[in-house]
Amino acid sequence: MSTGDVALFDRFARYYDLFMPGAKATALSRGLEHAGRPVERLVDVGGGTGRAARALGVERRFVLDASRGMLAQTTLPSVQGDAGRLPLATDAVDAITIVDALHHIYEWDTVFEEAYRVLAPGGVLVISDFDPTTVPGRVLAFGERLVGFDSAFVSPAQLRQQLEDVGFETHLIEGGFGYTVAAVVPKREGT
Amino acid sequence: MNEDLLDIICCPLDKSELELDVRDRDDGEIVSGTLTCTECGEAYPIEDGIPNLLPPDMREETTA
Repeated sequence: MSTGDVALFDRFARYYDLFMPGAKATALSRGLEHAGRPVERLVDVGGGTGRAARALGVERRFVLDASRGMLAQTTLPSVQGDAGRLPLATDAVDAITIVDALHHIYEWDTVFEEAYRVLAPGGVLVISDFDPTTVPGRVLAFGERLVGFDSAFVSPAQLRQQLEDVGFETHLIEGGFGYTVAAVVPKREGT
Repeated sequence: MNEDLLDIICCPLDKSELELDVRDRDDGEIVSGTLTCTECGEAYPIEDGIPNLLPPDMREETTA
């Protein structure tokens, strides 16, 4: 099972948009620009209420989340599903975003392999999360444990290494406490 | 759920195609129904317009 903390999100869903800082739409858009193909179809994995997906100017976008409570709050098309066993066809989308959500998900290697499968060649996975080696990152990691989340944070360098082990080409879009990484599926011969 | 999504969703277990059975439709949107895997036969419910494509072993603990 790759998605943790689901029951807590069902309880917090109604307040999520109020509590969390606004999605970093600019960094995400810059991440999407690394795609080697037009970004027409996007899925926001662990997207909850859809606030990140709503901020991006992609025509066909939808949210995938394990928490029914979060999806019930979104106006975007949505699918209830598990990030580690995506109910999405091979080469189905041009872009995947995971915004402030990766640290709630288990078994990252499986999640990244699934993302790699579901993205079409040249497609891009954009991840935004928090760096635990910065001071505010340490405070956040501690705070999430206090409220009962079973969260896992890594530095951007560690994350990029894990993504490259799966086959992605990675780019650091923005460093710091809240960082953004773009991971591109290399184009295959003849595509 | 918009029928548009049918092009890209699949069974989370074996990634095979799903067959749609609509129970209730509102203004083109599928409100309730069932998606059945054409390979393993697993049935996934659509409720309140949201298809539940969680693997069966994750279904119970996350249904609020």
